[in-house]
Amino acid sequence: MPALHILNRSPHEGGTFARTLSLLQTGDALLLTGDAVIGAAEGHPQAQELGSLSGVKVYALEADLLARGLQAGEAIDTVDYSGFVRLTEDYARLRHWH
Amino acid sequence: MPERRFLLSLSRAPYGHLDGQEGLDLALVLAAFGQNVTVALLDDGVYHLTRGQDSSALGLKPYTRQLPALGDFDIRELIVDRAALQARGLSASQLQAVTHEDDDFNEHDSLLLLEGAALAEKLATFDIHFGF
Repeated sequence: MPALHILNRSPHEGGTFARTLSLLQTGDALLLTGDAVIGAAEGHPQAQELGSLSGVKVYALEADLLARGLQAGEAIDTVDYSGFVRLTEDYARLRHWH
Repeated sequence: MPERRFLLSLSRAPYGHLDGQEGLDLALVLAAFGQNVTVALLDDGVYHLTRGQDSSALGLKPYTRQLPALGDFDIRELIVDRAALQARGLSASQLQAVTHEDDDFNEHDSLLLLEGAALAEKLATFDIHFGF
């Protein structure tokens, strides 16, 4: 069953970000919040990898990008808080990574 | 006793944690008491200085706006880890300008971009270092 993975750690902080990516399966979605939006930022080396994940939709929370003066990279969609809630409704399973 | 030089370093991104705000608060308090203070942005701390930040949707105080005002507190040096910028796909042109005035009211750039051994050598010159 597809899962929504919600990640809030920076890619530069410990191994949580990389571990989460390694656990994604086809059909899953990844929502980046908090410091994790750093990895979705245009120009960041991680953003390219996120944009090219096959079979996985990647989202970044807009408020966290704006707060840090960042823009989402290519193939990464931004969501507002309502979009965040909708995503949690769309996926039967939720995985929180902190 | 000779003057002690303080270093406050921020190593985590803003808004995800309180660390950065606490570190900056301490820098400003020390400066307000006339201490010699330098601030350094290391690792994810470099995101404190990106241009165009808007934290209103998060409902958080835009505390990073204090950084360009460091000069008003007579904090004349803001060290930025250049290697950390590069690892994050950031360039110096994406950072806000930070300046200070010298004793003759001439304006100078406060940013000091360093990396590797030169950065480590610089950080080692301070008497007291608080890392956040």
